[in-house]
Amino acid sequence: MIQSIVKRLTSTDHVSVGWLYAATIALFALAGTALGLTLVIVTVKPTLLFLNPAMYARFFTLHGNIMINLLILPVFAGVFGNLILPRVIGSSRVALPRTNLIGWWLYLAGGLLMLVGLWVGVYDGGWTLHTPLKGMSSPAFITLMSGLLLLAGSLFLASLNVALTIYRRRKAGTGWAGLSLVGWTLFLAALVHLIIMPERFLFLLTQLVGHFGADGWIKQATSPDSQVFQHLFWVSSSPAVTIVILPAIGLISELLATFTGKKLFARQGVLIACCVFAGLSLVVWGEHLLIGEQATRTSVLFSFLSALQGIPAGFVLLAWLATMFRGSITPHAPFWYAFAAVALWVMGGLAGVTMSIMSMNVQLHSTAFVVGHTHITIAGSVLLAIFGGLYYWWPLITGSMVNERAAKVALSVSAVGILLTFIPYFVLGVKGVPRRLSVYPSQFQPEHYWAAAGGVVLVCGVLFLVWNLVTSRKTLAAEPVNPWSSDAPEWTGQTG
Amino acid sequence: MDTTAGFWLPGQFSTISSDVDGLFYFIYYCSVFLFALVVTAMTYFAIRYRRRGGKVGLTSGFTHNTTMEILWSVIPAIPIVVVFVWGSKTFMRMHAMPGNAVEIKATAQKWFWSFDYPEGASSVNELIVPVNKPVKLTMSSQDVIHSFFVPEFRVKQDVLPNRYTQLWFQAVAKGNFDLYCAEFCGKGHSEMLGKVRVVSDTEFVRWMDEQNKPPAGMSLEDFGAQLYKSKACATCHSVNGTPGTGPTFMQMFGHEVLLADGQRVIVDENYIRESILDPRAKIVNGYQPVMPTYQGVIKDRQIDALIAYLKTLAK
Repeated sequence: MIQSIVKRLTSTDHVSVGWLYAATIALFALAGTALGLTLVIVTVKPTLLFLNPAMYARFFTLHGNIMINLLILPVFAGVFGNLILPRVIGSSRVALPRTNLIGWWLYLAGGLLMLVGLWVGVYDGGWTLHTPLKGMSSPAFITLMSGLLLLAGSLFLASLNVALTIYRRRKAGTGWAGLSLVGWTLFLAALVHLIIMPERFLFLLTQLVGHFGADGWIKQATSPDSQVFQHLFWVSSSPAVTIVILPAIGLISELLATFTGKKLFARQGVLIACCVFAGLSLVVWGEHLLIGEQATRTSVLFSFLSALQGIPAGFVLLAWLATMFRGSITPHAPFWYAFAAVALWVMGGLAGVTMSIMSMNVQLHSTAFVVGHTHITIAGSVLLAIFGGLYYWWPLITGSMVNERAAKVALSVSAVGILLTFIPYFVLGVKGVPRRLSVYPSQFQPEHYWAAAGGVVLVCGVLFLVWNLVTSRKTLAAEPVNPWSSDAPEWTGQTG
Repeated sequence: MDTTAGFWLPGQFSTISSDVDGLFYFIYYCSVFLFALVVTAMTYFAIRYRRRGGKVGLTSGFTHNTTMEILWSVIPAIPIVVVFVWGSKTFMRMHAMPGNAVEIKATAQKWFWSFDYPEGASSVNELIVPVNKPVKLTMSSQDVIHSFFVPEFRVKQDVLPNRYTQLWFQAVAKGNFDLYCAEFCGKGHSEMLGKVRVVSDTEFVRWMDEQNKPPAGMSLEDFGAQLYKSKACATCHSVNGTPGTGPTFMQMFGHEVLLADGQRVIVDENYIRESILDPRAKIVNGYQPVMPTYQGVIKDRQIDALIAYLKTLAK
């Protein structure tokens, strides 16, 4: 028993590592979801239904950190990169199996350390780690920063493995032109990761070193100067959005093309759009500091580049629509996941363009509107794209067919939950309610009721989605060969 | 005037509110239209092009069209640039500090706001400003990052430790408005809730005057001693005989001093009044003419109090 567990935890087989990622990410995500649900439920009362303000702050700090650092950042390189990518590119193994396994171990260790730090420290400044980190005890600070350092290392290794696997281990004869969009977007996301992780690593390291006292530039970088800290934080945290958005584009494109029986429209254009989006995302971090102390002309430049991101995002959207146009649509469950993901992509994206406009940003920054925007985009569009991808490839990676009717019901419940939970935050933000309030003026109670009701619906929907996936194993014994009639190589047996 | 929340943005109570709102509603209606358009098109496609029997295959070889792709990159760029320029212009206006503003110092700390007014008045958690006059805040924090946010005025600015940030607004109606801290600053963040009270110009002046009277029961001399510190006389003028950037106040009143131009004068009430309001008129020998004028910063009654205080130092 113990031997088999040890064997499981030390196997360099990428499928094994992929399932390790899937299991650990699911556990952390479950905790993050429970925290998130608690947050919307306690705020139905203007002075908190239960929890005290300090505990409320700790809950949202943990929720944000778990969902970002332990779910959406590692899920693509960790789960898709191991379970699906090798089959898509027709490889029997990944490029760096051992590095890949070490990456998971760092993920587990980093995740646990980070949570310990956040729990034992009275630090409660949200996932953005706003400095000065006053009130945080020394052991807690050291644990938190070490945890984040390990996580940065884990992401670096996982991304390195994904990038090299795509670069070196494509099936003979598959050029870059033959690489599917899923492969391409995972590759680009991994590249962005490789570009930003050294900065993040150094940033966290200087914080840690500076904590023990140091001179020179380390002292500068770790001084109580909140602006320097914020810049260093956002340089690597702002492009993190791309790491999540790009693979979602890949998944949605793959699903739409498969279920419309067409090739993705303007594939090359979509690829260029992805590159432009990734490139821009590296240079827009100052958009987060428009209401900080930043020279106006600097703000104008950052804001302009940020608004430009709407153009490649819009291009991709139009390519999806053109793909559906005059298609031969077989509306299997994964198709509807992509469908819903596109609708939410438009809603979240338009809110994002709104935030990038300077005068809008002044009014909406740090309000509940930001909560609405990030959640509709990530806990809505990206989440459904991920589940769509899992449903789509589930028969391939597990050999069992999913219950499609249940998948469609679960999707409907989740979609209603997403809209019900997060649209009220748009409304609250526009009305001028700052985010992260544990006490709010009572006239804003109705919106909080809707959000809480939505939260319950959303959690039920997502649990149903996962339950349906996990139990699919039992419902059908016969191994489906190509249930979606896909012409992608991993399904037609041309690879793998 | 409390927050009477409409369907979307709160009421417009500053000179830039309408600028901000015009753009917001433009973007909002465009967004709603685009969202509806995309969802309708997708739904239509999903129904219209649904496969009915037959084999799945490539139904159309139409997978690429350069002209169309260039067009749909350029056309969306136009509205984006338009709203960007519109928004940036308002942003610039928010950041161009008016020269004739009432200047107020705002200090944020866990978990309250305090405000210092030009003529020595101060208030906590309630910012009192005149209506229809530009008000400029110079802000700093004593601890972590806070953010000054009055939704009705459409202004928000982070308040930072170790740095100053500035913000201005001009209220267009009298009333009370919520002042939020928009940046999470610890467990008391939500209670860091202030008010902005917009009053008429005369009320504002009267309020500041009241703040400048000596507190009830305080002697004029004690009030002077308090002003000596709060008006920062203490920075340059000692009261123990030590020469600072300026001459000491000890044994000054009623004594003769030698001026830089060789004159000798007796320090009396009028000499002190002149030195406060026009410091460069008579410079004591050995000192630099560096003192700023207190014209407009100090009230007659406060000068009386300082003179009374200086007299006690000469006894």
